Amino acid sequence: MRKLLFTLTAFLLFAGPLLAQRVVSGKVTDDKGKPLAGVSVMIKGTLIGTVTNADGNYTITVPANGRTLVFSSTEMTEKESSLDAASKITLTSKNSSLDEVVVVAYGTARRASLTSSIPRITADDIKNRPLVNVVNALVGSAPGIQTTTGSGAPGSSPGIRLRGFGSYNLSSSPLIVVDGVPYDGGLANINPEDMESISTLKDASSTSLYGSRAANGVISITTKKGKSGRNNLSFKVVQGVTSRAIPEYEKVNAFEYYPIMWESYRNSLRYNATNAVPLADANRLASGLLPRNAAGLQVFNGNAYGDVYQTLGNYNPFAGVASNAIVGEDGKLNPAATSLLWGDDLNWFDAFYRNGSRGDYGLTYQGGNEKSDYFGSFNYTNEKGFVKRSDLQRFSGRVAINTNPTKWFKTGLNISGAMINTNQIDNEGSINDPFYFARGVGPIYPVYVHNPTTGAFVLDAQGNKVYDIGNVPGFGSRPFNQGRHAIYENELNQFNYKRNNLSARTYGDIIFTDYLKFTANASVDVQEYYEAGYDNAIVGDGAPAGRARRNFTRTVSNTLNQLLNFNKKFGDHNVTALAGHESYSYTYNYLYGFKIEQGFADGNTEFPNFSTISSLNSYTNRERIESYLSRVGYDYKGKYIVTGSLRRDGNSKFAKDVRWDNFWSVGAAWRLDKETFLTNSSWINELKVRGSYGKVGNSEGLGMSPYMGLYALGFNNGPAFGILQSALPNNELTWETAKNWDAGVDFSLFKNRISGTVEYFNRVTDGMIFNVGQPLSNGGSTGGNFVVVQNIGSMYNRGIEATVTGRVFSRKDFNWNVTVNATTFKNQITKMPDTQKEIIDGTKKLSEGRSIYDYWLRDYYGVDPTDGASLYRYNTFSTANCRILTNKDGGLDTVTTLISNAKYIYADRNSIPDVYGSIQNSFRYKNFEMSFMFTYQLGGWLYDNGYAGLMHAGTPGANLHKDALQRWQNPGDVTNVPRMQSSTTADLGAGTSTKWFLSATHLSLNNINIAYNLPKSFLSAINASAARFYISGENVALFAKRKGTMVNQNFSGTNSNAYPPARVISAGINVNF
Amino acid sequence: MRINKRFIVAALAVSMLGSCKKDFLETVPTSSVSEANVFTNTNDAWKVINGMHRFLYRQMYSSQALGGQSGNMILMDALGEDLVMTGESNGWWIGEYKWNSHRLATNTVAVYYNYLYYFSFISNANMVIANIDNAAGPQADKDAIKAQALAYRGWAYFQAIQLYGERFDKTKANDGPGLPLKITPSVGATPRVSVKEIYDQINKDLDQAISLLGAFTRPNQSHININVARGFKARVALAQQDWATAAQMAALARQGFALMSNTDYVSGFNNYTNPECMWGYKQQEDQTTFFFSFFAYLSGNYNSTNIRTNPKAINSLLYAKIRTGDVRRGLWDPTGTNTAFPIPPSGSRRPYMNKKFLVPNTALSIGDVMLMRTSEMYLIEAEAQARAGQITPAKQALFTLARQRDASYTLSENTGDALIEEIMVQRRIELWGEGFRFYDLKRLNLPLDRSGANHNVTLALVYNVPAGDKRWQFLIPQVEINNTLGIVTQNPL
Repeated sequence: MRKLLFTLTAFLLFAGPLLAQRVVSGKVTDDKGKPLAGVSVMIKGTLIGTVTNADGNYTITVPANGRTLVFSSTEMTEKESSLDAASKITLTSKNSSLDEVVVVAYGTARRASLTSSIPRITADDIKNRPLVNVVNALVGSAPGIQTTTGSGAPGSSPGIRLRGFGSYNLSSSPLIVVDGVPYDGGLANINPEDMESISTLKDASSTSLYGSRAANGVISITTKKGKSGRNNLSFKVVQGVTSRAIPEYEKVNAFEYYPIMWESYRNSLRYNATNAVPLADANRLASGLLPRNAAGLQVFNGNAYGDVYQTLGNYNPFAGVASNAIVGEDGKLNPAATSLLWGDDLNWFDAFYRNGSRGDYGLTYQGGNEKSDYFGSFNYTNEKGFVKRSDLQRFSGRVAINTNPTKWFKTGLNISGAMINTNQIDNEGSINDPFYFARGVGPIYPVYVHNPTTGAFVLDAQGNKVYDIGNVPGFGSRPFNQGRHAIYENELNQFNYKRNNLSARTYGDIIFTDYLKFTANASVDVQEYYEAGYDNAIVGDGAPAGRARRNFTRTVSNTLNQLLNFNKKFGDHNVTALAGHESYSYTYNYLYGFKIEQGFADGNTEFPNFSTISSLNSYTNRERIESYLSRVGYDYKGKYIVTGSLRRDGNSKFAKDVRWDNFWSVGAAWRLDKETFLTNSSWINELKVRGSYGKVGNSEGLGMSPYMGLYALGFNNGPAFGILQSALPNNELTWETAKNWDAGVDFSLFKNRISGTVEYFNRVTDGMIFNVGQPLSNGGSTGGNFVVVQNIGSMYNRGIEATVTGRVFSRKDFNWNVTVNATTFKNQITKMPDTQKEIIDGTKKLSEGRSIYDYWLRDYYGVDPTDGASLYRYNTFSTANCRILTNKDGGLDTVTTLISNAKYIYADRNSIPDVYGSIQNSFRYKNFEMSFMFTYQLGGWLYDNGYAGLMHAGTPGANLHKDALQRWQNPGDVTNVPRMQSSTTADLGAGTSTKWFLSATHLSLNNINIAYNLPKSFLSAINASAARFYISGENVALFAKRKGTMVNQNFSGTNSNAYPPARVISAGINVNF
Repeated sequence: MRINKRFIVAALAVSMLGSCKKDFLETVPTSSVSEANVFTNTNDAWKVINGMHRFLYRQMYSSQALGGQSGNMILMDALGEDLVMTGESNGWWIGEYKWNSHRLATNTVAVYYNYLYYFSFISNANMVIANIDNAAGPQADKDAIKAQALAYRGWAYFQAIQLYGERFDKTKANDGPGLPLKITPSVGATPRVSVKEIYDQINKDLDQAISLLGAFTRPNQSHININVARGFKARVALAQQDWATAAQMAALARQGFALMSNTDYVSGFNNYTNPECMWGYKQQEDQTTFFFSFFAYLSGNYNSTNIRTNPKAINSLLYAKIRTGDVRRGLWDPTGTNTAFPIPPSGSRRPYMNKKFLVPNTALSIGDVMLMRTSEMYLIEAEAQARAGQITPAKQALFTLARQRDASYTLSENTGDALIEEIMVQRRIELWGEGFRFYDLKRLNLPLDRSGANHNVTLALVYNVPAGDKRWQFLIPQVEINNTLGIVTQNPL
């Protein structure tokens, strides 16, 4: 810091003698004569500039060698003018994307001068979409951006991948940069209203200056600044409702369920491998017709047996039917079972759903003069999820100030803070996840306890209904998660977190010659996370004592950089250069406490109300990166453009000898439309070809000191200090490197009616990091067997992306634009660890020549019509479990009935789409605006876990999909649903196999919105300058293969019982004063 | 001239700001310690031995059923016929009870856990054995550290070979596939060696441990002293049908240890200061393992779903063999109606349920667990002598134990198979729930027979498994086969 101050002082002293030669002033208007405020006025070939005020006027002091002024703004076409002609300037509305000023690494640039494509979303693009998370704006916005649907839980973020999947074990998520500095806070902290633009940097040319952190691309967010000369205050109010966007699977009802479970139990007796019970006896045993012993069990051949009613935990939901007469020995439901005792209490979803809502309220103001500008905002978001105990409140505020008190010095400060308070349901996927529970519980089990005879609710002493946890004394024992009740637990437990986020950015610019500028940036991002959890003493994991946990983490990231910018024109030759240094420091503090044995049951969940400490832990993780960076750019007449960059990074995650590496890029572009043979073309307005190649790195997702052989602390045996082996060493470990190359064409044709980009990309990841699973016989720790983190593989993602925008109609009162984008890519592993040519990872297997998402599953064959067994292609022949069948072509197939002897295969299917993209439409008619966007995926396969979980072979108490009605029942039945038999569910039913594939092709109406801009006549009455009403829907509709399937839950295609995405329908109003 | 000055400033700025402190990029972890710092002196090396003791009671592999060694103990009885499950409850141990899980190569509770758990002891022991000689510190400490590591390695191999290998039969070559033999720290895949070679290594390790442990006085019962190492040796000899060694080692092992009183016997088996506790661990409150605990499944009184709805019972046929007047008869309630038996709030009562194991504090799932008791040594001695035809010492060893439990017991008049049967019945009663039954059935080449007792077939499903069936061998975890690229081979499917 002291060094920085010294340097600044040095600059102040030496920059003083810069004296001006001539003062130029003038006025800038549009083609209709309306004054334009906020237009940038720069002296060409220098970094000296100013902006116009509210009346479009400017004054600038031009040094002796200044000849030309450049006028530019985001909405207007750039124009150059000699000093003499500069008093009256008319700008025309921009209709070419090449004139945009876009954010690049460590600066900005005109799109025309780029050797890469940088898709960008501006505030204007999402002004009618009430988003709570800026990431949602990226969905479908440009080719090469692949996203997941994201959970419906308030505060959750969708996943993002740019141009395929860059890594297997490390992060494949892009680097997030906010206002020029890598950002470690969650994007949910950023108020979307503060966002000026989001740029997506995908290729070598645009990303490589971020060096070792840019291998997965960069999402660069710029927040709003004040605009001089325009004082403005606006507010918005948005109110919406949220609901479940993807419906539940179709499942059997109570009348269908009981006979299936009878059959499942009967078959488990009948087909038991040893001591099988003859069919007739098995039928009677299942129905409950044999004599009983003192314990109420039937006795057959000297052993005790239950019946179907007992198997299902003594739940008989049918009115007027005896418990041993529910299902006859013919397997049919008793015809008298026509009405249910608690038919209105079987929908577990209804028991925890509620009407979700979302409110979003914001205020922004901005303004400034020639010397200074300001921007301020405040926002409050209040979201209630569509299930109970699931909500989020966010307060956020931002102040941004820029000032240039002298000609040669400019500085600014941008501070934002966010405070989030949220309640979340319990761990997704675990027993106390209400979604898992409500989906999985059999359709005969009520939410509340009922009188088994009358069906009436059983009430407690206070007259309240009592949750049926499945083992209430005197009532039934539900076999599905007995003693648990996710909805009750959700009501009693607590999982709340609060997040405070403070972000500050400051900079100082010193212009110390007209072509040389020094900038120092300093930033700090602080995030504090406080989690309070409580598991109740009545039911679930916290029972019987009750327990509470507190988790506090603090993340502080500091980035300091010093940049020297050079920009000079030598005749027709333009040269830009950048040199700099950056240091990044990240500190993560973790503190965790856990106490049990609650004292007073009065809702106090703080630690003094618990007696026993069962865990108290803390640690600190640090990461440091030091970097030297440089970039040069050159163009000749704006026609031939070359760029190059070099960055050298050192990272504390790696051992000393392999800690430093160089990352670089080269790029070139050619503006064909500026060549004489095209300048007069009647149909080509713009045409640019470009390409770049470079090397970037990735280490995100590696733990602390991943190269060290470690012993974990915390294995104390009583008071005796103890440690145990926890990680094996690898001193060679270093970054993954991505070698990216891409080539593209940007075009605009037919008076800019059609414009777009087509690009080819090839990302090669080398030194890809594998957590190479070690033989179990080499040991492990409490988490599992050891892995060694190694740079061992290679992979590529290559493909083509395209986007085309058509101005279908463009009239005074009506216009209609369509943008279609599409991406196709191939992901392939080209090198695997020598000692581990294949890695099986859940439903996938990695090997050379395959993608990271290629399925590797047991080869399901079908159901044997003779006995309903599930058949798989065999692995090792055994007469005990193999069968030889004649297939439809007359050949012989050898299959097995034993899933553990099934053969694993690559099914030549993976979860990667053949093509994905979006179709965006926007219309404007007079004061109305409307837009909608479809996202689509063609090809790719899902592994439908949710469905597989409902297609078990009759596990007592667990719910079944409707398709179970198609099960095999009698010899000769030809079906794809095997025999129900509760004893061998893995072999018969839900074992992991190729059976559970589902096409992932889908079309989603991602958002639709309609806006109405109030007429000027009305606005003047309320002193407003603009006002807009809008109605918007997010996650509106999904068209997919199977009802209930979460098609786009994650990139790997394997879904789970997660919180489904939320549909949000909202209405809003924006008023500007 | 001015231009030059500006360039000087620029150059100055970049050079000044370009240098950071030299150690800027040096960071160290705070929840671990680098391997390089562990074996420099004996003081720190002791910490690894303490860690291994703690590994006996840690949460394993995110599976609630696995609280360290207790996971193996519960499984060994779930697979036998003496422990009876009385309800499906929340499903824990039911798949194991059905003889399903240990024959599924991907099963975490039975297959993966038992394999990796014992190899983790072996791997930690290997690091100690390889490095301790070069550590600074007293030779006595080095000996004690090395000996405990050797004893753990022998014990761990013995636990695992009985599951994954074929039964050791002293009349045969025992050349079937055993386990990978790892006795030095190394990476890479190691193939399985024969069952015999594993047993040879076990004996070598235990012999060396015994020779090094002579002078070691342990701080508490969680450490392995010479008695415990001899106890291991006795167990191994019993499994190898080496009756003479088994009897001799068991007798030596129990020296200095008494048998517990009848009062202690009904106090819940949860205190490692029990005079019978030769080896065990004390679990203190802030080192709890929650539901990853022996007592969360086997105790009569902890308030867990599993215990409320599946109180563990004793086989009714075995119970019938307990003499009236035997203190152990009071550990089980044959009626299921005795309200003097502790149960958790709203817990079920079932016939033959147990109160042998009780948590001292019903709010916590934990209690001390005894891993080796004096009575086991008497039982080994009695059985080994009886099987060797040494009737008198067999009867005497049996008498000492049985008389302690039942004051009216008189010296047995049985001989031959009847005496052996009497000893085995005593063993089943005495060690019920402590994790011996599967091992015993397998080493004795007996069938599983659950018929005619209080097993509910709907729950147990499997109630007869012939002796020598391939199901007596656990499958090798699929991930071991995958990670060794098939160098480690699977057992017969």
